[in-house]
Amino acid sequence: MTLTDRYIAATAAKLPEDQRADVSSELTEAIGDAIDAHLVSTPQTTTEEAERHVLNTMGDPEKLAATYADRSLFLIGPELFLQWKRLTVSLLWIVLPIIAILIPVAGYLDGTGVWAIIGQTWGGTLTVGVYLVFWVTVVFAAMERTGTKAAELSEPWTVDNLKTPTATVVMGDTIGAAATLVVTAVFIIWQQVYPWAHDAAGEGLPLINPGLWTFVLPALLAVMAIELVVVIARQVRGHWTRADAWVTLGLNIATTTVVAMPLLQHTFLNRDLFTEIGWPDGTTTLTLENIEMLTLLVLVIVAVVDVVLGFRKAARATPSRA
Amino acid sequence: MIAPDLVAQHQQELRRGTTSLACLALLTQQSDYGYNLLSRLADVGLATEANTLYPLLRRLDKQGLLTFEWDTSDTRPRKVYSTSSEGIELLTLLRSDWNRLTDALNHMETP
Repeated sequence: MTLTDRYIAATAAKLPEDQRADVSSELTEAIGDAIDAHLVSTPQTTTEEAERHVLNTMGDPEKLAATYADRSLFLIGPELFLQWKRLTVSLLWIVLPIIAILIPVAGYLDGTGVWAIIGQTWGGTLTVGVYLVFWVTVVFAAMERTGTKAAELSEPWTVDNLKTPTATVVMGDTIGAAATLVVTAVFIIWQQVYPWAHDAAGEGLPLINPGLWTFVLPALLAVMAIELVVVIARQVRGHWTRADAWVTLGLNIATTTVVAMPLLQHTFLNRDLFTEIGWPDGTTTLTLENIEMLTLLVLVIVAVVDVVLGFRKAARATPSRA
Repeated sequence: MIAPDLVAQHQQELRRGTTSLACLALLTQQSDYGYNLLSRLADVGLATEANTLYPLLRRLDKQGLLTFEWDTSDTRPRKVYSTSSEGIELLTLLRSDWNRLTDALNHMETP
């Protein structure tokens, strides 16, 4: 079997059955003519050298077969690329946060250790992400090959698809913020009024140090009340302003500072309660001080995110004047 | 000084489509087989690779713009293509388009 025969066989193997014989005879002609011409133009070369030269010029047989069969040499072309990208990105945004919350909750309920939970969450979220991208891509690659048009997947683009630059206040955001404030306030009062543990004398033992009612907790509730008013006022107004962003910054600094004091001094949690219920015990390495520091960390992260988002929304709502 | 890559890219964009037009025109003048058509294209300054031309001829045949006959007079059988009547019709249309473009470009001021 000559090199030419092998080249033609390799090309034919990548062609549909009904084209193989025809393209093979065409290639025999093409390659044979090219070798003859090369031998005439450079008389010192041998037939083998000429054959190698011609076949190298013809290039990858699979690519040649794709040109013959009019087959695309890409996975997803420009027609469907944007649909593929939008679906992949939005699915990742929806699915991955849910997975990243479900896995640690399930691990926590199973009594898995902290480090194992962190590992499982990372691994699980990554795996789900990889599967998601893979299967969306497989479906789109199949649609690309069956000639699906973008118009069959989504409405054609019109100017109505442009996002409004004056970002309106989203109702869901307001409801979420208000609900969080109310639930937190109710919890702070409720855990004091209806403590779920009592000492030997029948005295109630709240979760938060009752000594903090002298200043920290009333101050916290007051700041939260102001926040609630600001959130509702913003919804009524309908859009964010620069002042809103600065008020958000101030309120977050106030909240964080007020709560940070007892957390850093380790006087936030009611030690009497934990002595009474006997936790943390010898089976855990977690201490009350750990929990207080983690709480502070979470509060700081939430505050920073809140402030950054506030300024971003305000910037979008009020176009800067040049 | 323009980067050679940039020049090559724009030249490729400009030439895309001219090969089909040239094939239809050359095969109207005289029926021919692949390799000879390659050299005729090179002679008029439209050099094309074999791995582009042969699949192109086959596609134009599938579209009914070319016809072919196997020439078995030589030791190696060859497909001899000629432009069909539909091919000539298309060639006329494309040629007038091309002339219109040339006229338009010629009327534009050059620095």
